[in-house]
Amino acid sequence: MIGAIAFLVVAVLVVRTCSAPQARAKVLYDQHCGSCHGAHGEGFRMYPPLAAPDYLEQHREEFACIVFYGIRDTLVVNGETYTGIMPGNPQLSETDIANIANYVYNQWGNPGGTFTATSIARDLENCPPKP
Amino acid sequence: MRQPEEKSTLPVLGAEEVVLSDENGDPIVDTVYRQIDSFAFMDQDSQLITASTVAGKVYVVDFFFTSCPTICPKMKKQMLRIYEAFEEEPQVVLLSHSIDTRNDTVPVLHAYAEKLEIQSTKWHLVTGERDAIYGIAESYMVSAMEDETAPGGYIHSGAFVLMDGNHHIRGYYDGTLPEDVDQLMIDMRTLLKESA
Repeated sequence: MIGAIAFLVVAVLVVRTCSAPQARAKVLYDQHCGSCHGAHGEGFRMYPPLAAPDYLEQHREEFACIVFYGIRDTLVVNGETYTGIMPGNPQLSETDIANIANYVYNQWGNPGGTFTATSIARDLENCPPKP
Repeated sequence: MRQPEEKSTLPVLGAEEVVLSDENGDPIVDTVYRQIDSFAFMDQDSQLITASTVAGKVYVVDFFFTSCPTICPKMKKQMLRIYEAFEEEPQVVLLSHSIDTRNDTVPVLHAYAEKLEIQSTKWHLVTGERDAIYGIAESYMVSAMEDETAPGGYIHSGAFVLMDGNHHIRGYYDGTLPEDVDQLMIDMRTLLKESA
């Protein structure tokens, strides 16, 4: 009996620990990305969608750079042209950005992928020079 | 949460001034509400926008900037609801002031307006001298300031200010909340009846 209870407690803890990054990622996404790019990555008028498999596939290594440093460029996303400025989010840690990247890349028909704080740190080291 | 309701009249808000006038030798004390009627800005189509542009209209004022990542998208979605609801009502005008006078030039505002799919006959996105923009925000009693630690570099209120044809403030609404904007649209119709 005690063994069964202990097993349950451990199981619950394991499930909670494993599901935490996903929940945390949604909070981070809603807080830092969602008001412009939409709760479902749908975008809005001047804000490009993040449900954008082609763009994300082609800019995998730049994702962290755009989130952290922002971008001032003309982009073509899902066939639409977007101009304007996206401010950076220098307050986000590498772990936060990895959470956001995993969240964005693995839903809304996006191409999937796994990001870690280490891979994000490497991507940030190699950001293209700003104009 | 307050429920939207139709009111028969709307109060006049804003700074009051007590003035003494003289009528046939009798002194008369009168309370006058400040009119916000001294400004000149440029909109997304390089039109000069002054108090006479909005005189006699029911208009909604707000402050934003095009690269604002926080509350502006919500505000612009709500302002777009107002735009669409009053698209055929020539007495209604919308006036959005950019507080990022460095980046939000007329061409930037023009591109933003094109993406919003709005016409400058109805919705003016205006820019002007930095001090003039921040000064007019103060007149509307809406907070706006530069803050390099804030996302995008600026902090500003999400208020929508309802103005009447005499340039008096008639209401404040939270431009990020759909239910507050429902109330604003009801109040706009009340003002339209008042001025009809």
